[in-house]
Amino acid sequence: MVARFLADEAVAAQAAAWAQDYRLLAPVREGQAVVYRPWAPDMHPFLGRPPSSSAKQALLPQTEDLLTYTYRKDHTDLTRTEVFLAEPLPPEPTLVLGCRPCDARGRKLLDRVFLERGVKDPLYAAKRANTFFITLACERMENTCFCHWTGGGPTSEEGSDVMLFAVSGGFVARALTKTGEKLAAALPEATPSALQELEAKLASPVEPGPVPDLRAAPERFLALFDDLDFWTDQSARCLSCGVCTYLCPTCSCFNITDENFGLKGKRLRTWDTCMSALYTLEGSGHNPRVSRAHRLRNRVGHKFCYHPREFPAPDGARQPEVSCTGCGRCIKSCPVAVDIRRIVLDILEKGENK
Amino acid sequence: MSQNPYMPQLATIIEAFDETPDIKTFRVVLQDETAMRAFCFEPGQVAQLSVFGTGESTFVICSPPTRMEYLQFSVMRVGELTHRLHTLKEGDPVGLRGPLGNHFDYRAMRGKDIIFVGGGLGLAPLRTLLLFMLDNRPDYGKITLIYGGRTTEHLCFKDELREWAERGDMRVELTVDNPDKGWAHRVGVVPAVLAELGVSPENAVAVTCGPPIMIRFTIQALEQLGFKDEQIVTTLERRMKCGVGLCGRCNIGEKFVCVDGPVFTQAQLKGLPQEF
Amino acid sequence: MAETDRSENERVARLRATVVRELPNVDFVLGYARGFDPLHATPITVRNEQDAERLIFDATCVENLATSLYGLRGKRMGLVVKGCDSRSVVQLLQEKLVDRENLVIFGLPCDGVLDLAKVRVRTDIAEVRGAEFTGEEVRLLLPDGEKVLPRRDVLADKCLRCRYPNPVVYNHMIGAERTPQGEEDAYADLESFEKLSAQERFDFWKRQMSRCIRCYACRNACPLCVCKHVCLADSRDPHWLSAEANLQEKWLFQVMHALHLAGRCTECGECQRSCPMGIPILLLKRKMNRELKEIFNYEAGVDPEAVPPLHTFQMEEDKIKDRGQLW
Repeated sequence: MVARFLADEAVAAQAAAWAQDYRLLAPVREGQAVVYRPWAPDMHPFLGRPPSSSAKQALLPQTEDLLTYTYRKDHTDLTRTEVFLAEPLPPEPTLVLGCRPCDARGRKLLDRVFLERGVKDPLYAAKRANTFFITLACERMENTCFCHWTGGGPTSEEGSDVMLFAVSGGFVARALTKTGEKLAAALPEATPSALQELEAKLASPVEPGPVPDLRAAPERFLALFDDLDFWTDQSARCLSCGVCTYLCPTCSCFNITDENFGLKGKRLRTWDTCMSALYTLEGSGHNPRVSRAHRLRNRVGHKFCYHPREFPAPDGARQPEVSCTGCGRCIKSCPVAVDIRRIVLDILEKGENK
Repeated sequence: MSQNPYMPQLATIIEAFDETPDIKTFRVVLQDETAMRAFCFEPGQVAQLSVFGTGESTFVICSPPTRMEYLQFSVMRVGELTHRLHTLKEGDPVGLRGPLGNHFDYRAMRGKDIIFVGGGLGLAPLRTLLLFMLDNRPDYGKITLIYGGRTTEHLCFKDELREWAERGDMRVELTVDNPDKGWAHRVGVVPAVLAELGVSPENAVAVTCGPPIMIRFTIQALEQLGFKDEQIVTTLERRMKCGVGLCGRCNIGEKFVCVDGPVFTQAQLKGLPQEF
Repeated sequence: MAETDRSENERVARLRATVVRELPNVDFVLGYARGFDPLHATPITVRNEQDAERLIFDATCVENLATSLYGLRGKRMGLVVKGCDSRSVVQLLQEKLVDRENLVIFGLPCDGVLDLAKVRVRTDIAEVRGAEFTGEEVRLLLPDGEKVLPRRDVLADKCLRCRYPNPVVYNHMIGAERTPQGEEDAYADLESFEKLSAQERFDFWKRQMSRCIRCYACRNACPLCVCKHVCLADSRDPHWLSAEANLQEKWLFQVMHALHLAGRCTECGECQRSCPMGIPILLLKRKMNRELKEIFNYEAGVDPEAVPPLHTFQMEEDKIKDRGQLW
């Protein structure tokens, strides 16, 4: 496969060309944030920083219709109504430009839930089959990055269709899938000097910090499960908001609600967050996760204990599969700097002697 | 039928009547007659009832699979959806998704004595299994029902309670916390009755459902009577949305009450993180 | 080491010692510890001497810990506050949302806290290794060397106009009282914003609000948002907001939030600071506060005995001319 080249000054024009065939989502700077926006002619894709939100919105939008309904009154007997249901429209083919390897790797973990756990989610499946990722390899690891804990790295290819590597004047583009090849085909071939520069860069990769052995995490988490003081201290700072879960590339929990407009309406699927008290509040008033401590415990437990227990890694694997890609958004954007790495390290340490 | 697990089938309420001041029973049939004939479920399974515009909630199908003229749901008025459901009447359309979840392991219960211990609306899931067993009476040993409520007014399925007591092939023990004048049965909480009766764990299975506090003390009473964890069966309730193991909220550890439950043995519950 | 540095270190030592002395009287003390990097502090619960050793206090201690008070009501607890945070406590006390006798307040006169957004505009701090706050400078140790920023350039806006650097309510005042440096708030930001046409302002908010992800960090970070899960944002009955992620819903919530805080908001700025999408929602609250100041000459969170103007009424208000047709 020939390596291609995307020049800095060609990014906007190329994005416009891709946008002819796809609903293109590209990151743009808005104030302090970098957010994905659908392609618009005056858009300037910004690839300088990892986007504030994750690319999961391409596969699991913040809200989407599950169905629409219409009531019809019986004209001869107005106390009688009939109801008609309609399924949502199929999704448009979508191309995500400029996500990072941690986002692309999130696809696999979303697949675990929506395609592999049991019932296949048809809305997700339709989007999954029709959404492609052009991923920008990272050149460094920020203070909040820990992809290397989760089996990834700054140049992980998993989940991407095309990988872009920054070199002088632009990006070397490597296609990783059939669709990736089609997407990259319009680009000129990379020059030998660009390839040399890339070789040199890849030869001296970022040196990440030490990685804890996470194989013991599920067991130690369960050992600490009933230690509510531990969880109260860990969650003392938590505000119970949805920042961590909504920005997470792997959090997939959702709510279903109806919105009614006269005799018509729709049933919506919306991102939901296990950090909210309402998430598990039962009609009777009983709430199995009544405090922030219970809820934080569930978020950490789901990612580092329940997921690896549900999807065990093959025997002899060096690390379990966790439901986290180490993107660090939950740390970086947390208003009170809750650090999930610290919590996991504390679990590993304090759960050992339980 | 749609491949979309979120797409309810349309159903019509054919009968709606009050059980107690805040519990109403609905009998529904699918609008598509072929689908209704093909509708297959096991005792203990649940379904989602929709009132379009308000939402969906999970309810146990409390009629047995041996009686398929309709699907019965008994609904307590507690939240938004149940308030709306209670306003519906015969002929109104609803949505139905199901059957969902696991079911009572009635095969493993064959040949055994069955003790049903219920409180309030907790009789609903027991009813489906009890009627299924009565419809297959020779397969089971002695059947006992211990059922209680706060007052006589709070007892569900009153006509059937009388009918069951008169059948002669099962034993019915009723109790209330606060009796009315003329109450001819027991007074006191269900777990106390259980202890009083001294039910034998020998070749028996106890199936219990009711308010969480009742279940807790019932299980304690059963353990004191010598019932082993495998002989105690109960159902869990959780806030549910999707009903198919995807939306996340009903997890207990890596199990999902909507898929791996709602029926659990005490042995299974002990193996889960204690977060009910 | 600079003189200020030494005295600040002594101050933290005093804070730790004072906290330890009070530990027998409380369930725990909520204070600040170092977060995941040198520019982040994170709240901790101090239960013993060992925890107390982790306490810090410097320009990174941005969080308003009073936010946790209402949720922890009923506990006997200690709380570390800056001047601005103490105003939230005052407001909570006014509204009887916390019990003073259950609180031990460690007040720290404050020289201002960082606005990391301002730091990020000036330099890349994603890999910051160290930070020092000496006098009028912020020294950052970055992978490619040291970077010095003038402190005033990176202080939070609220600090530049702060007139309450010293806690207004406390049990222990730790450190010398500061002389207020802030100028009278002229609402310059609002003035210039309001010069825009209505259409321009509306377009501004549409653009800003369209990035909202409805995580409600703004609400949960607000020390005075105490409706918890009966919040209008979540209520289904009455059904105020749809779950749809459209502008109308997002905007309506912010407007209601601002209205609910009129005369209560102390402009601690936690709503805006917490927003992961960088939406400047404090501006809405400042708008309300300026109106309140104009109409009632009232400032929230200063006097524990005062009654917030919208919690009461007078038959004759000085600056409200009713039309005389009410009766």
